Amino acid sequence: MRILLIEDYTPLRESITEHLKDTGFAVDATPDGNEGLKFATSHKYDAIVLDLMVPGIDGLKILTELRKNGDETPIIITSALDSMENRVEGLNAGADDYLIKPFGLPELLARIQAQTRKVYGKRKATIEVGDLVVDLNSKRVTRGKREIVLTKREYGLLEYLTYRAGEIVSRQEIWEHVYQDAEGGSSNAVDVYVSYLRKKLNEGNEPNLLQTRRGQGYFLDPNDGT
Amino acid sequence: MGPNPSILGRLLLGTGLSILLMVLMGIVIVYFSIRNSFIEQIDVDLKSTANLMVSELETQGGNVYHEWLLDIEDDPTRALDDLAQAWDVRTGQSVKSPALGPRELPRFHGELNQPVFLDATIGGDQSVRAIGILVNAVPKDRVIEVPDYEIPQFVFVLAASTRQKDNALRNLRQTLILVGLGTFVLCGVAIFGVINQSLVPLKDLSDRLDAREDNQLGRPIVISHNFPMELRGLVEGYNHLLERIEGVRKRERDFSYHAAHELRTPLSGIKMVTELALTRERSSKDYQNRFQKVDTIADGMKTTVSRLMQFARLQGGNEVLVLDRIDLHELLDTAWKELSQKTKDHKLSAKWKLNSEHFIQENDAELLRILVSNLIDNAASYAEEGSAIKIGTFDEKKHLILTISNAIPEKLEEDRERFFEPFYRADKVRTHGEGHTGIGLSLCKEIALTIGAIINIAPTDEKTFEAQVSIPFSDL
Repeated sequence: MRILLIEDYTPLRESITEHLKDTGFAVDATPDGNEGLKFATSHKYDAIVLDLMVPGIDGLKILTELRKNGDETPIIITSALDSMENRVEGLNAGADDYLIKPFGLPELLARIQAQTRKVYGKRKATIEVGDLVVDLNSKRVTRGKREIVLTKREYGLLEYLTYRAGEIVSRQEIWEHVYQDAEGGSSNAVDVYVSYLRKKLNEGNEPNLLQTRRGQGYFLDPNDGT
Repeated sequence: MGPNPSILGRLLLGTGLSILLMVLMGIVIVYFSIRNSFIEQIDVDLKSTANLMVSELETQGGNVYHEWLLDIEDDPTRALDDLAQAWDVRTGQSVKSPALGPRELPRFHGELNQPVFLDATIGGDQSVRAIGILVNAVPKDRVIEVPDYEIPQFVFVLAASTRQKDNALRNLRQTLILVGLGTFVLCGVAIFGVINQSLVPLKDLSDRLDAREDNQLGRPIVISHNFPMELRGLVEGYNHLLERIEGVRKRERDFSYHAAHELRTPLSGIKMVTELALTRERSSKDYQNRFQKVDTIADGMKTTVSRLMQFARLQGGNEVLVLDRIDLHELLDTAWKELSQKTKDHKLSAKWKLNSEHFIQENDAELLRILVSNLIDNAASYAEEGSAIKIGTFDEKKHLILTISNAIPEKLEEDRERFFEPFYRADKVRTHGEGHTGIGLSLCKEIALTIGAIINIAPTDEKTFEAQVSIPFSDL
């Protein structure tokens, strides 16, 4: 999942970024409103965490601009402005959630996950694909009775594929939603991680859950691609 | 009037006294008009009768004939009623009408043939009105061409009893007093009712204000179209006062509100840095770095709190000035150098034009330092990237004028006073990263007031924003 964080207060920006990355998110962070709007309009994000009082274009204007252009990315406002008027103004402008400072990292994470689940039509915090179960809160993955231990990157990849289970997901989409811009490399790296993930998911005679569609991408399918 | 004067009491007393005075005046005027008319009538009667009777005083062969006396004596009615007496001036002898009996009329007169009137009492108990006249006796034989003949003169006094008149006047007095008293009471009752009725809207207003709940205190009073015009001014004044109080309350609320917000963000920072530090085991170096971050945030909060406290002290007038000799130009230079990182980041330069000859000031060094630093910091924070900040001083009318101007990327609103509101931001941007607390300019205004300076901040045109401080020369 790729998150855009627009927050000018450095300790907050750095802490949120670090925590989101630790939990498997790809994060683009900026302290500036103008840059934030540029990011938001040029990338496809799974959620945007937006502070209202940022230099350049303020948060409310960014929100209004995005919604005016038909961008439906979930936007979570984070602000020290806690009055009902402020919250109503933010939500009416098109925000999906409003988080008042100071807030805890687990709460922010839960809200981001709730929003991303909503985007992909998943209500529950556990997603099941055949006998594969992904617990989005604990980041625990099991297949049948077997627990699968994944790296942060592998989990990020699986989570994204799980959200889109049954759909063909292109290599480029995976690259955009799971990988950091600054990491370098190319979307070919996706193939490498898909192969690592497939090995861990399928053991012995278990049906292959992670299918490849040549020239199109990958998809998670409980029916062994048949 | 006691310590709590009553409008009703004052109006009643005032109008009551006025009515009493008018009634009394009316009674007096009516009484004396009637009394005078009575007297005039008596006087007219007396005069005409006296004229007739005087014409009957005659001399004949040197003797005087009182024909009127004969007439009286012949008329039984007049014999009982007429009160007349005549004196021979030469001999002092007098004759009087039978009705007088042993009583005497007062002897008085004016000039010859000029009647005069007098109120008198005869016999000790009878009030009379009398006319006295000095007359020459008319010679009956008309032989007056006798040498050295002296025409005899008489004083003739005719009186009329005033008992009837006095009785009538006594009755009149009683009637007038009763009528006056009645009028006074009726008017008093009517006025009490009218005043009381007129004061009802005032009482209603008072009741409405008393009945207000705590959450309705700031609401203006709404008055109906038939509300008394005399009270409209009071209500309008009250509403205006409420509006001003509400403005002050709002600013106070906003101050507390914004102060809380300013502390919320760094508090949030501390919470997140510590939460993140505790998510897993880390190396001591890692912990050290995170503690360092928390320490930096705490320092920022300390600055914010310290500025808030200073602002509160300045607003409360509790700051004591510590006077010292200060080189303002040096202070400006130091303040600029302290911002070197920011000016470098924003690619800002300074254009100096320091022309004041009174740059050595006796003033509070710390307050002046905060004032100058905040103004330059503010200019650097909002200046267009790559532009120049102009810093100048000059002297004008016993004042040192300090100007700091910067280029702005976009036009700002021109409500000058709002720039001095705590936590007001013209561009709605918080710049925590650069150490702003949002009360820099508010502090500047309070400092200017404290040191007797005047500060103005305003866009000079669409592209320039200028702060100007006028500091009076100090006696060195």
